[in-house]
Parts: sequence; C-alpha cells; structure tokens
Amino acid sequence: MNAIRTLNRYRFLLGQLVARDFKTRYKRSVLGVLWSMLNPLLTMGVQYLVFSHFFGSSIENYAVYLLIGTVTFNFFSEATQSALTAVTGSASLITKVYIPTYVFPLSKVLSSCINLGFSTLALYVIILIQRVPLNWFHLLIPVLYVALILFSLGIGMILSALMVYFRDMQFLYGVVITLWMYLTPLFYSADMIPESLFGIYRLNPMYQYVTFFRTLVLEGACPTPEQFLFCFGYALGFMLIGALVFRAMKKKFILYV
Amino acid sequence: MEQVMIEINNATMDFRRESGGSNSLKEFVVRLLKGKLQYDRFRAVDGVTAQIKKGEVCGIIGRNGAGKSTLLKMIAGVLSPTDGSIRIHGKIAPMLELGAGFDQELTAKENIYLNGAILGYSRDFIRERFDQIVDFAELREFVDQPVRTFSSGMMMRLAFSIATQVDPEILIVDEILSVGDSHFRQKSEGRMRQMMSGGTTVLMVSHVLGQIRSMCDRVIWLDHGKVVMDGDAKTVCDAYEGLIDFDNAPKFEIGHHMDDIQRILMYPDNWLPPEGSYKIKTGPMGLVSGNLRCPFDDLTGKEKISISLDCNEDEEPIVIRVTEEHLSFEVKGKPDTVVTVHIKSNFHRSPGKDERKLSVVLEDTDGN
Repeated sequence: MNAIRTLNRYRFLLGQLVARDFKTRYKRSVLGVLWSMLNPLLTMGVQYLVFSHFFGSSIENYAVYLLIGTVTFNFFSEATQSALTAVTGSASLITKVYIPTYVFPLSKVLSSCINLGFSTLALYVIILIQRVPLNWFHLLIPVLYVALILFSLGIGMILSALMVYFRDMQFLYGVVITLWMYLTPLFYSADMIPESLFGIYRLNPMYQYVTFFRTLVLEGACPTPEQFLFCFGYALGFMLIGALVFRAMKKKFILYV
Repeated sequence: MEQVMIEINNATMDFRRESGGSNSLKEFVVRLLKGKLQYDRFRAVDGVTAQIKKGEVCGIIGRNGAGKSTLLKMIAGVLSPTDGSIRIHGKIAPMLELGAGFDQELTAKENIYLNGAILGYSRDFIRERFDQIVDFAELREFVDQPVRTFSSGMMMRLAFSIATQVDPEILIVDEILSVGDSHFRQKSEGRMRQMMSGGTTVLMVSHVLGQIRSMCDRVIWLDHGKVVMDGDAKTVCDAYEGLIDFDNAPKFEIGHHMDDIQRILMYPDNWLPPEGSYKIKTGPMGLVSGNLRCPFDDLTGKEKISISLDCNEDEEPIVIRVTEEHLSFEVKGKPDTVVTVHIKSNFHRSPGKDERKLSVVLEDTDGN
C-alpha cells in the first residue's frame, strides 16, 4: 500500500527514467526508433528462413505464429534482463539520493513496454500482410499484456535484488533465459512434446502466455478459463513473491551496490 | 522555545568490510559452508549525538574519512543508521552530490528534467524554474547540446543551478561550494547565503575552513566517527587548526577495558566528564556549557548530576542549568575568566552485567 502511495509521488521521476532509456537507446543510430519495430521483424525473418523448412508446413500462418512467440518472449527477456542490472546500475544514484529502490526495476520494465508497443505494431503489419482474419478477441491482447508485464516485473524484482548480492546472476540468467527460450514453443509446435512430459511442460509460464496470445490471434477463440487462471495466477503470484523478496532484501542494498 | 529541526541520537553507522570479498555466488556458498562468512566491521560514525535547531547554520569539519559524509548521508535518509536514531522535522533538501544521475547522452534540457525529478521536483516546478536554472548556469546557448560535450565546469554549474532551486527548511550541503571558476564561485556562494538567510537550517561539510568560519555559527568537529568538539564556529575552527593548546587542556578517560577507553579532551564546549573538578576558561560571551554523553545505554533513569562552581573572580552572578534528560549544563560568568567546575554524579552500573565501571581519570593540569 505504502509502495503505491510513494509511486504516485515518484511518478514523474519514473516517467523521466523511462524517457531517458527511450531517448538514449537509439541515440546516434541512423534508423533510431525504427529499430524497435525492425528488431522483432528481422529476428522473426531469420527464424522464418531457418525454421520454416522444418515446421512451416505443419503450422498454419507460420510467420505470425513465429512472430507472436518472438514478440512475447523478447519482451519478457528484455524486461527481466534490463531489470536484472537496474539496481546495481543505479548504484551511483542510490548511494547519493534517497529514491525508493523499486523505482529502478519498475522503470526498466516500463521501458521494455514501449518496445512491446512497437513490436506489436510490427506484428500487426505481418498479420495484415498474411491476411490472418481479425476478430474481436484481439481486444483481449491488452489483458494478456497486463498479466505478462506483471509476471515480468515480479521476476525482474527478484533478479534485481539477487543481483546486488551475487553478481554472478547476470551470467547465470543469460544461460537460464536461453534454456527457457527453447522450452517455450516459439518456433516449434507444442504438439511435438511427448504426452508424458506435457503435464510438466505446460507449467512453463511463458508457454501459457504465448499460447494465450496465439489462441486469440490465430484461432480467433476465447482462451479457456484454465488459461486465464494460469496467466493471471502466475502474474499475481510472481508479482507478490517479487515484491516480498525485494522488500526483504532492499534494506542492505546500499551497503553492497 | 527554539524548534529542533534535526535530532541525532547516538547515531552509529557500521560498514562491512568483507574479508576477501564474496561477491560471487560460488564463493559465497563455499564460504557459507565453511562457516567463514565473516566481515570486518568498520565504524564510520560512532555514537554521534547532536541537535540542530531551526535557523542554525552548522558546519561539520574533520579530516578525510572522519565520517562527515556518512553522517550527512544518514541525515539525508540515504543510509539508515546501524544504531541510534535520526529524526528530521521539516522539508529537507540534501545536496550531497551534484549532478547525480546526469546522462551523458541527453541534452542539458533533458538532464534538467531528469536531475530535477531525481531531486524530487515536480514537472511544473521545473518548467517554472527552467529559465532561471539555465540563466544561472549561464548555459543558454548550450541547452540543446548533449552534456557529454560539456566541460566539467559547465556540468557542475548546471548541476549546482538545478540543485539550488528549492527553498527547503533544512539544507544539507556536502562540499559543493567550490564549483566552477572564481566568478561562478562567488555567484554560488551568494546563492547559498540567500538560501540560508530565510531561516533555513543548514548543515554543511567543507574542507575550506574560511567558508565554514564565515558562513556557520556552529561547528561540529568529527574524528574517527566521533564528535571531538561541538561549539561556536570560531572556537572549534581555532581548535581544529591547532590554535588551542591541547597539551595543557584537561583530559579524561572513561572505561575500564582497553577497547573501551576513550580519551577525550576537555573543551569549553564539549562533553563534560561525569565527575571531577575542571578548570574551564569562559568564552568571549562568558558562557560555559557542556554536554555529557554517557557511554552506557542501559541507564536506569535515576542518574543525577550535580554541578557546583568556584569562580576566581566571583563578582559575576552564575547561572546553572542542569537538564536531567540531556545532562547538559550552562554557566554564565565573566568573559575570559577561569571557572572551576565541580561535577558529581551518581552514575553506576548494575553489577554482574559486565565488569565495566564508570571511572574518571583526570590528567593533572598543573603538571604535578
């Protein structure tokens, strides 16, 4: 509760931090902000070239299928990886000015949200080119995004707090995120997972978010209550754990950053 | 009744000095398993007690590493004390570091907003003061240039200009007055004086003693995290610069164990040892006052301190005020005379808790 009240006070600062990330990200690059759209498109393009031979024939609208996975997972990976170094990277500020530390991972996740917006635009370009029929369930995408953002924020808070004490986290997490990517059906179909393992496989939160997204866009159907439950259960659960871990660990940040 | 703005109560700050460093998970686990997770403790600030009243301009002096900046950071809320407490009554503007969070890639204009936000200004406030900030820093033509192209002097001017826009009740200043060339330094000193004039309580750290002498009315001298002396600016600065003959000043020790013994010089304005007779020279105002800082924290509340005086020339009336809570006293006598203060107290320690007893070892002032 207290955090929400201070959030209001630090909203302007949060805005400035996000604006700084956005402005400095593509500064001195020729194409500038266009990269936010080009990036997922190019990644998708490369993956399409490589994987369409293997999986393209068995999956309908493979380009869109692929891009939904890329957009979702890229957001998650970017948000958590930038949140990871959010606290340690702001050491010079934390030791000099009093600012509630959770502002830093939060600003990093919010910065990634801007990118998510641009890559969603890119996704719609491909959806229109591929003539995937639009439907009313697209309106549920923001709902999905809210869950995805909360989930990423929760993970990001945990990582940023751990990072203060163990700098190995950044290398460790780089490996984890790669493994996580392969465990999520981004370029292959989840049908390929053997029945016996599927019970565990579907516990992967990212599997749930990606599948939820594809249900809306590719199947034009409403996700099942179970899917809703998974998506929001993970979001709220990890958000809570993240906030608790962060709160418990932040007291001694200043002595370690 | 003067309002107390900052209450520092036995504030102590320990830092951990890792023996060997365990910043990696592997090392941490290995050392945890071996049970060797030890840290050397480094006490940066050690039991500082002070009250800063409204409108006071208080300087903090001391050598590098004396704990000045750590103390300011605790007051600013950046660090929370390991022990003791610090209470702030009023709106505080800490100027600990100029240009915290400047982004090299952003323009001066963008940085004004960013740095302002970090300092806790609102968007409207910055918008309103924007021209003032730019003009004071004399950077009008460079507003749209990224600050990485700035010289360090330009950067500091901009930072100073942003930081001094507020009219706080309490101002914390850490060594920021020596900014830019002499022209700008004069200007910034003027700005500081202007900020101080409106009844603002100021706490400042500076190594430039001239600045301290001219701006402060009270000075606290820290050494190794402890208050060596706390009093009016001239006396403390004189003492700090070695203008007072310490060898002939009375000294006393408290404590029993070697670790525990504190040798504290007696100054006209400093702590009063609990028992004994002291010859004290009155200041130019004829005032003698003292504070007792008890080295123990488990007092029963029944401790008493009584003070009686001998005056060499006892024509002047003597006022004694003993506040029991703060264990402080104040004596008014003739200026520049020697007053002998006899102090008695009934401080004692409950036996069995540990073997420490309060003892006072007076060093002979007469050289006998």
